[in-house]
Amino acid sequence: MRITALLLLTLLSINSSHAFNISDNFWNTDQAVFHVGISGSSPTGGTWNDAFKRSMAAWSNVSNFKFIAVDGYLDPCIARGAGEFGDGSTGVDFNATVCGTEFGESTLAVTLTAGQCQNQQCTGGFTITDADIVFNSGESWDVYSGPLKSASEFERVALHELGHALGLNHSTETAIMQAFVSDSDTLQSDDIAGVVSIYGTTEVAQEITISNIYGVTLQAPSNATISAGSSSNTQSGTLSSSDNQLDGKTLDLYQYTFKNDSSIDIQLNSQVFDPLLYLVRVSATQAAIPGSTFVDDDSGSGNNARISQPIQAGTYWLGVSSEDSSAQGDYEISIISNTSNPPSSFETFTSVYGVDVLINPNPNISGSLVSSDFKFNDKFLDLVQIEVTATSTVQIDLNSSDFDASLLLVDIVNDEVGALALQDDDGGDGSNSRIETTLSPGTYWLGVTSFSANETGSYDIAITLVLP
Amino acid sequence: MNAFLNKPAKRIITALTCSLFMLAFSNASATTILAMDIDKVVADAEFVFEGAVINSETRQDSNSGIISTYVTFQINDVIKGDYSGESVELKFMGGVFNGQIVQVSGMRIPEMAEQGIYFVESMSRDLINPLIGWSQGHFIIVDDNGTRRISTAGNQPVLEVEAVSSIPRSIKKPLSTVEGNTDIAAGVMTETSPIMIERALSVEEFKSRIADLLAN
Repeated sequence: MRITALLLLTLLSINSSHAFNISDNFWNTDQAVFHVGISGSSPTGGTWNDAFKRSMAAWSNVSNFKFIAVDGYLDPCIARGAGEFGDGSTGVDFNATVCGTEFGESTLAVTLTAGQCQNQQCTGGFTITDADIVFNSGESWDVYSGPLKSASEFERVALHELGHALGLNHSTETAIMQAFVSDSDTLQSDDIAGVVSIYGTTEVAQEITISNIYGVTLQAPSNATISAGSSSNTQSGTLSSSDNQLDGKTLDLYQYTFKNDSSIDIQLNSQVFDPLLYLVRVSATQAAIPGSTFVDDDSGSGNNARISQPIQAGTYWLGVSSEDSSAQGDYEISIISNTSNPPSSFETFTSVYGVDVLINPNPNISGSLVSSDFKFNDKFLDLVQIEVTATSTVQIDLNSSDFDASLLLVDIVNDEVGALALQDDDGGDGSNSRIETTLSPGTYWLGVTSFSANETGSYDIAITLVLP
Repeated sequence: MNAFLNKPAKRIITALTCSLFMLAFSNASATTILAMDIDKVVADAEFVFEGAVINSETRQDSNSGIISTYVTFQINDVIKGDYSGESVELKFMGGVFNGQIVQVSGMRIPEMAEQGIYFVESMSRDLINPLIGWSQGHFIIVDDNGTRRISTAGNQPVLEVEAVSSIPRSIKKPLSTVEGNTDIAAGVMTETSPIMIERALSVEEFKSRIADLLAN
C-alpha cells in the first residue's frame, strides 16, 4: 500500500487552484522595452514614472518575461508608419487623445497592441511586437494604496494594462486581472500564476510526465491497451540495481488500459526473487482511485504473486517489486483478461439531441470524430468528462494525424457549464492542441473538435501533470 | 451516475454550445472604462438607433499606421437623434489589415450581420470607440424562436432597464471603475447565462424603456 499513499500524498501536495485566463496573443521574446518618460508627479507625491516602473517591475519579478525600463519619452504613436506595425519598442504617455483619436467620455486608459498575424484573417492569435499604453490626461489621477477613491489610481491601472500587454485576459477571481478594478493594488497569486503559465518562472519549471512524477520510470508496453473479448499477453523484465527505488525496494512500473470491465488474472513469476505485485487504477490526473488498488505477494504458485478478480475498465499501473530490498533478476508477467459481459463500463450519457458525453477517468483517451457526432458550427464534437479529485496542474494534449485538432475545456458547476472556458488550436506539436492549466477538484468536460468544418478522424488525448 | 444527468439535457447542451461559440468568437481583453448609469448612457448619446451591420472594412491611416475598422450599419429605426440617412458608417480603432493587426484591448467591433441597438456618443467627433461607454452602449438583438430579444454585447440577456442615477453609486455599483468589453451600465439587469434569452426584453420592450428614460 506504500505506493498508494505516495501517489496520493504527491498529488495532494500540488498547489492551489487558479482562475487566470490567457489570450492567444503573446510575445515570442522574453522582454519588451518600455520607454518611460511621463512628466509630472501624482497629487500625493511621487512621479508617474516611478509608479509605472514599479508596475513593470512587479510583473518582471514574477516571470521570465522582463519589462525593460528605458528612461526617456517615446510617443506611443510614433514609428507606426505606413506599412509598418509596431516599432518594437513600447511607450507610455498621458495624452488627451490616442494617436489623434479622442478617448470619449468614459475611457481612462487604452492599451494598443500590434503584431503579425498567422493568416490574413488573424485567427489563432498573433505575435505581439508592440504594446503601447495611453492614459487619458483629461481624467483625475493619483497614486495610492487600498480602497478606490474618487481619483483613478494610476498604478493598479498600469498593472492591469501591462497584464493585457503580456497576453493575459480577465481572471474570474480576485486579481489585478479581474475585470473590475478593485481595492486590490498589487499582483495576486492568480495574476502570477497566469503570467508564469505563459512565460515561465525564473526557476526552471520541471515538467513532469507520468514517467517521472513519482520518481519511477513508467513503461507503456506496445500491447498495453486491452480491448473487449478474451486476451492474453505477457511482459518480461528484469529487476536490477539500476531500477527505480521506492521505499528502498526496486520497482518496475507498467501502464495498461482495459477498455472494458474485465475479469483479469495477472501472474507475476520469478525464479530468482520473491515477487510482489501491485495493481493500481489511476485517474485522469494520475491519482490512485480509492477502492481500486490491489497488492499480492504469494497467491501464485510457490512464492509467486497473482491477482485474479474483476476490475473496472480504466487505466492501471502494474508494479513489479519484492519484499526483499535486494531482489534482482528476471521476471515474467502474464495477463489474461476476459470481458464476457461488455459493453464498456465507461459510462456515456446520450441526449435526445444527439450529443454524447463519455465519462472516462483515464489519463489516456482515444476516440474518433465521426459524421454521426454532435455538430456545432459545422464542426463535429466529442465530449469526455473527467473528474479531478485534487487540485492539479495539468497539460492536456489532443493529437490527431487526421484533422487539425481543437481542444476545449469547460468546468461543470452545479450541473451546468461553469465559468472556465479554455480553447486551444495549435498549442501542441504541429496542428495539435494543448491546454495547460490548474484545475481544482471538480467535474470537467474536454471537447474534441476540429479547426475546420466537417473534419473527421481518430485522435488521442493525453493528460499529464505539471508540478509548480 | 452524476446528478446532472437528471437535469434537462437540452439546457446543458445549449449552455455548452453557447460557451463554445463564445470561445470561438470572443476577443477578451480590456481597456479601462468608467462605469456609467444607463440613464447617462441614454442622455449623453447623441444618436441611438436600431440597425444591422451591412459592411465592415479595415483601413490603415497613412500617417500614423493605425488600423481602424469602418462598420456600416443599415438604420432600421432611429430612437434618438436627427439622423435621416438610411445607413451610417462608424469607425472603431483597431483591426486586421493585410495580415497585420492593431488591437485596442477591450474593443468589441460589431460583426457582419450583427443586429443591435447602438448608442453613439458623437456623430462628429473621432473617437476610439464611437459607442458611448463602449460595451455599455452596445446591445445585440438575438432571435429567440422568432422573437427578437436584447442581449448585452457580452451575450447576457437583458431583463430590465431602469433609471439609477438617483441611487448612490456605493449602492448600485460599489466599484468606481469597470473594464470594457462585457461590462454593462448600472441599471441594466441581466441574466448571466445566454441560454436564458427567453426571459430577455423584446426589442420593442427595450426601446420602450429607452423612450421612457428619454422622456424623463
